[in-house]
This record gives sequence, C-alpha cells and structure tokens, in this order.
Amino acid sequence: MKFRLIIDSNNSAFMNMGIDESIMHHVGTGKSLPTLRLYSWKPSAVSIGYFQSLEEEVDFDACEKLGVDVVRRITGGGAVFHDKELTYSFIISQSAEIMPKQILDCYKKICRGIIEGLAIIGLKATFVPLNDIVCDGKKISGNAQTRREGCVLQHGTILLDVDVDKMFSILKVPDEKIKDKMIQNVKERVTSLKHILGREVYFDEVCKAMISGFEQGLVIKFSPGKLSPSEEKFAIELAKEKYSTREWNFKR
Amino acid sequence: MNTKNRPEISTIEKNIPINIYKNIYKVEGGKLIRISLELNNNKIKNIKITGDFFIHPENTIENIEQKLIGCKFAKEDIFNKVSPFFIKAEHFGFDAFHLTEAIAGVKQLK
Repeated sequence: MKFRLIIDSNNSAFMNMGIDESIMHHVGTGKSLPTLRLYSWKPSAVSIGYFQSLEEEVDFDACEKLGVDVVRRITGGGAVFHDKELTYSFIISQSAEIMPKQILDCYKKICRGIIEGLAIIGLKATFVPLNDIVCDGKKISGNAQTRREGCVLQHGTILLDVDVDKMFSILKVPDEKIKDKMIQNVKERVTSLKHILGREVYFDEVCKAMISGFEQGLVIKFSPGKLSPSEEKFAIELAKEKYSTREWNFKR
Repeated sequence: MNTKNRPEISTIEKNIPINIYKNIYKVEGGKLIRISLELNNNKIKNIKITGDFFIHPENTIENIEQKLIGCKFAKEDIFNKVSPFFIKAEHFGFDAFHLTEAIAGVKQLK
C-alpha cells in the first residue's frame, strides 16, 4: 500500500482544517493516497472540539487582541491552543487492512507512530486511552479522531514548547474561582519536548522523527507529495465557506 | 463528580419569562458535559449538550437533543430517551447515565 507525505507549515487555522477535510474527501473517494500531513499554524490558533461551545470555551476578545485564530474542528475532544507545536493529520480509508476496526485500537495504532517518533528524539512515551500520549506521566500529545466519508481522520499535536499562562489567557475555565488552581494543575500535567530535553526543539527535527516514527510504528513507507489541484481547490472552498464562518464556529 | 447549578431567567417575545438552566458535569476520570436547558411546564423545550467528549457518529448529539424536546423533566424519562442512542453509537468519556445525571443536575432531580 502506498502512502503520501505532505509537509505543510504555516497555514491559517481555517485552511488547516479545510485541508484535512479535503484530503479526507479525496481519500474517501479513492482519488488520493492515504496521507500523513505534518503542519503548523500561522498565526497561532485555538481549535475547539466539534461538540464544544465556542462562547463557553474561548475568550474571543482576547484571541482577537492577540491575533489568534479560532476554529471548530470536525473531531471531538477539548479546546487546544496551537502555538509551538507540530500538528499531524493521518487520513486513511476505514477499510485499509492496516487499520483496526475498533476506534480505541485505531487510536492506539496511529499513536504508535508518534511514540516511535518520540523515541527517535530520545523520549520514552506511552499511550493513555482514549487519546493522550504521556511522557514521565505528563501529557505531551493530544489526539482526536473522526470517521466520515469511509475514512479515518486522526489529527493531533506534539508540543514543542508550552506556555500554560498564555493558554489560559485565551481559554475560559468552567469555574473562575478555581482558575489559579486549574492553571497549576495543567502545569503539573502537561509537558513539552523543550522541557524534557532541556533545549530548543525545532519543527524540522520533529518532522523528520515523526516521518520515521510513523514508518516504523505502522510498518509503512511514505512518498513525499503535495496536495492535488482538486484537493487544494476544495480546501480553499472549505476554509472560506465553512471553517472561517460564524455559522460553523458558533454552531454549538 | 462535580455539579453546579446556575438558573437564569430570560424573557422571550411578549415578556413571558422562561427558565433557562445550566449545569456543568464532570465525569470522574472522563470528560466534561455542559447542559443548557429551557423548561416549559416541566417539559424540555430546548436543550444544548456541549463538551469535550467523543461520540461517533457525531450527529448523535444533535439527534439526542431533538429527541429530548417535549420530554418530561424526570430522570427516568430522560434516561429512556437518551440510552438507545448510546447502544448504537461509539462513545468515549461519558455514557447515558452521565448524560442523564448532567441534564437532571440542572435542577437536582431525584
């Protein structure tokens, strides 16, 4: 089975979500190969889970002030501040032989790629159901999956660095009275590559490690590629007519 | 498990008051469920279920919200409406019991 690799840094939040959905559509209709896309966000962005309420989770005014994009994902899960990180999406037909049928097994399989990638950088990480990867007992990667158009789409983050205070200047907390405690709690539960390795870690280095990690962990081989003209056209359409609209982002 | 009641009064056209209730329910070791609910004559007039959970297919939540409109605001009735959806769907971080508790929790139903 052939796999495509796309390295695609510096898109807006709307375009990133548009590209993921566009690839899923093209993989689902057999027009594109299963794909690993490694990307980042410019400007920094907050993505919220499909079921979350933007008003309840995000300080929209603070985001505007800081120039941070806000977008609703098509996957469930929580709000994520995409700042200094590597984001990936892995998109494959649900019927592909290498993909387990159960959702939890599917998470585990795709996360194996990330765990192998982290091992290449020198980190021992483990999968914690449903959707986290932890290192020294602290979360370093969060992941979210959906199944649509006959495809599995899983996207997730690998934290290069984390600024919890900045994160909470943008995200709302369920109870303002315990905000300080919550921030402290997140500081204790979340880590980053920079923190563990004690040095700056760059996108390109982690990219290389993740490519090898996915190849080893899933026993597959990638060919470098790019979006087809049709994928790009549909992604731009989705960014403009879905992901950047108030209707979509405030839908719940 | 942590529930918090926050009744709010709002008005609609002709200034008829309706009760909107909210609740935040944290599943122990799981996800957060937020409920926003409008009651009319002890029946659910409108409900919005949000949170950081996972359920596949995703439109299950919208279908549950639709199904709950007109449902008597009683735990057993809510559970009976909600639970068939959880048999069909794959869900993570919460189940029919948690969702029922989250909804009932807006007014501490027994």
